[in-house]
Amino acid sequence: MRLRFGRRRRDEELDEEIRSHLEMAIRDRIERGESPEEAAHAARREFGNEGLVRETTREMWGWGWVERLFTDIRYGLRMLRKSPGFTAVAIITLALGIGANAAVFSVISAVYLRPLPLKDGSRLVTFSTPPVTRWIETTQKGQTAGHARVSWIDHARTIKFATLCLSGTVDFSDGKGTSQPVQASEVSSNFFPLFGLEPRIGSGLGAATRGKTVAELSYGFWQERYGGAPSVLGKTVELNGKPFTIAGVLPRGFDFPDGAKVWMPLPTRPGFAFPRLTMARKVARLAPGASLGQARTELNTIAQNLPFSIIQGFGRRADVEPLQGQMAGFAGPLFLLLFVSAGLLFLIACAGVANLLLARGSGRLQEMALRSALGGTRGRLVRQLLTESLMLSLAGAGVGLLIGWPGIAFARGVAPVPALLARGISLNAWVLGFATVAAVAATALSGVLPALAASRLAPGEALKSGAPGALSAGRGRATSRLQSLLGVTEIALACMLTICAGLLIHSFWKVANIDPGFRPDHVATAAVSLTGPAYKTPLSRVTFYRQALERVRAVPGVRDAAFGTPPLAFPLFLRGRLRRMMLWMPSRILNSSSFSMEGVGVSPRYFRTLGIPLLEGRSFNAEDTPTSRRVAIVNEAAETLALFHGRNPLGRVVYTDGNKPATVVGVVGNVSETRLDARRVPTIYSPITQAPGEGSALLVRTAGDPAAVTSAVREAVHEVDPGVPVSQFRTMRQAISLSLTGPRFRVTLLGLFAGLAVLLAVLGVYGVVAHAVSRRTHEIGIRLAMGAEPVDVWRMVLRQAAWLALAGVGFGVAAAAGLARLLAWFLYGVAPLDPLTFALVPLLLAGVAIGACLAPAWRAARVDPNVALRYE
Amino acid sequence: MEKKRGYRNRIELLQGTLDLLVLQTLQWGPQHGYSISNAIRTHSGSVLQVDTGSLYPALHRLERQEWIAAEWKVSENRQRVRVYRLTAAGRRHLAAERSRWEQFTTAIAGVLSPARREGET
Repeated sequence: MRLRFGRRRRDEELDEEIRSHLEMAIRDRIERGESPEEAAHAARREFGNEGLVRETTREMWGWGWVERLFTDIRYGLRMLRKSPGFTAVAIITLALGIGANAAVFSVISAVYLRPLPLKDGSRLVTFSTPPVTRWIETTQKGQTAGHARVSWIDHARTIKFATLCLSGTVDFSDGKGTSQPVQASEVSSNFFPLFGLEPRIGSGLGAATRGKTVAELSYGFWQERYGGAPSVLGKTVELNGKPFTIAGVLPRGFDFPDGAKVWMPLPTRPGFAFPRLTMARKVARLAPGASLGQARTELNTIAQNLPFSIIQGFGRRADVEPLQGQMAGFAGPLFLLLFVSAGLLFLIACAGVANLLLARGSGRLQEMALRSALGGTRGRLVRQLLTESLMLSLAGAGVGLLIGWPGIAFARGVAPVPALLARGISLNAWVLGFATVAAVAATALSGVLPALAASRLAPGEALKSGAPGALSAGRGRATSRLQSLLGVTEIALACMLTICAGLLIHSFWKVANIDPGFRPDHVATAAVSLTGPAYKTPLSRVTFYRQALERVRAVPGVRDAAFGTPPLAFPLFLRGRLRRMMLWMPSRILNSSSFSMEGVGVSPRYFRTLGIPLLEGRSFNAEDTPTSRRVAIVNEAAETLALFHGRNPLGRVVYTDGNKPATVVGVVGNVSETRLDARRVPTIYSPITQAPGEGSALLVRTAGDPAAVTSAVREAVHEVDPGVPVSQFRTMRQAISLSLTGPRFRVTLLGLFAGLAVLLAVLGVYGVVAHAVSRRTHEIGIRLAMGAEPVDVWRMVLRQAAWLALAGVGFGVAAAAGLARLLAWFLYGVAPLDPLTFALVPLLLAGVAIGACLAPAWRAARVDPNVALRYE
Repeated sequence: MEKKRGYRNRIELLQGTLDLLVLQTLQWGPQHGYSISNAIRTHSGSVLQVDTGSLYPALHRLERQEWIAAEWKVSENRQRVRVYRLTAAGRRHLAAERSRWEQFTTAIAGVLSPARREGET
């Protein structure tokens, strides 16, 4: 405001100064004898161009650029308002391009760029420890009272506060009635101090609490289960049947690890909730001043010099990684793919807008010429046109953010990242900044060339009252060549994107049709958990399983039933980390002969229930009791292990954890593990009578719809023991579908991007052809008058369309062929240069593009020569 | 178009020199724009005719650099005029510019009459 006031005053003063100069000049001349009129005339002439003097002087004040900017903005707004159709289309095109990128960026920035929302999040690291034999005993010996530390790193100087956490599900029950499985974590006493987290209410787990039966809840769980009531403190709940007191609630938003809702201190004896301390995740903070590289070196050195013996097959390394990167997990390539796709969409949008601007520019020739003749330099004109472009881009960015907002909210729900990171996916300052940068980039890409093209002219040429849009031949050709080039680029980029989407779709179809190794129809699954005090002994569990199976088989509609334990290793049942068993055989060869395999305990009819083919030997049966000879069944993949030296494993004796020997009595087919397209890994099956786990999966094969028997099955199990929770009912079909969410998500997103890209590119080609037709109306009129048939006009227009489309898909296919190899990570069963996709997509795209140009062709053929020629 | 470019060229060429002339003129006392232009014309024997398109931008530029200061006064003819005067910094700048100009002209003179120099050595 003050600027304008001061400005106005200085303008007035300058006017006055100039006026007084003139008056004095006139007066002097009059004194010298000239007449007043002569004097006035001569003085003015001598003074020169008043306006120019004023302008040049004003420029000395240094405010010139601000004033010019405002003028440009005002003028630009007026011009844009005058052609609402163009403005709308341009803004929507830019909105699609920028919006898609902003949405993708919001996810990427939340996962990789923004620091973890924890104290000093960037200095948190995880590290692994090489698995040692007899680890548990050593760890227990290494404990000092009350603290669970990873003792072998006590002397490390580059990291501080190492902490352990184990995670999995426990049965949570508030004492009355049924329990529900809840994600939980056992943590060492310095876990929360490491993250700098104080409990929101209550005192928390506190220090020196190993083995104490207190628990802390997450904020979300507290709200969900207790409605946020502070009275939850001090309440007693049962976790896996054991009573715990709730000692605190955490602040909002923390759910590390794995979405935990309940935290307990590490137990004094491992295996209460979760097996094996070796599976504990280790998190630490870098010491002040230490770098990641230094920590890596130091921990690796310590690991090299460990006095313990390491389990064969693992190296003596401690992999130190930043926590944030670890949390992002395997989503990296997906994000890259999305980012590149959004980037291609952005380029297509910019090319489209550039085309629009070129077309518009040729319609504004007279305006440009006038301004140029009045003294506007080329730079000035270009600046003004760029300001218009920038306004369009910023408006496009704004609308794009509006469109992208629900997309961002959606992404927050489905992004395959931990909740701690997903919280950061929102419309925040990062995203706004990115959108602004994208708008500027869009202006540069789409506005510079058209601005240069529109401002390049000799004034005389356009001021002639020719037909509107009649251009000198050379100039028109240059513009239309540029437009054609842009159109071809759009089609090429869209073709690339669509081929990628096509490859992914093809791959998804293949994955969805993989034979999982068993028969998934008519199979239902449920999770059963035997963690109460009644099931401490293996025998009690065996008894339960036997009785439960009898009852379940008696349910009408059930053909067969079986148990498999632990549930995590079950095919497609739960996504999560797998339990590995160590397996080895005594061998005369000195190299390592121990291997890690999947270990599953199964009831006798397991293979039959699931439909896994028995290839050799026998399945487990009633002869295999807890006291009989230990037996095992391996799968096909295990046969290839060097363990068996390529011979038939039947009858061989293998040793498993705890040096227990077992004889191999059968070989079964491979099944998919957690994912349909995962490699089939060696697996060893034990009879459930000899390895009864506490958590297991109940499998039921039904005659009819598996979903119909859920309540009956649950009741059957509860007839044996009503306190045992039976939960997470799912049909196998549902489980398979669930395992496909990742690929499905990819395909949907990429398909969406490709669809938008095709839309924009086809619109672009349509625009180019339509504009060419309108420009050549005159010429077409002449041709028709000279005897050409409408069909010739059709041919002329469609030939241009075909050129554009074919050149576009040609380049697109070439580029896609070059880059398809990079997609290999996502593809299953489909070669990167898949002929089906590479043939179909270009054909479809070219067809659609040419089809879109039928309308202008039709319009062209209907040109009335009289009307067209009249314009001359 | 040409005319405008012509203005600009002349301004660019004379800018440094014009500043010098204006500052020098103001050394004899504060004056307004019209009288500065007259003074320069008179003192140069009508050789240098500063057009207003160069003068006023120069005056305002010098003002911005705080080598001259301006204020509104009422002239004898009861007319409001904007009068410029030299500031202390302007005086210093003028002295520096003068010595540079003298060096410059001496150097050119030296080149233009090499015979005399040769004769001297």
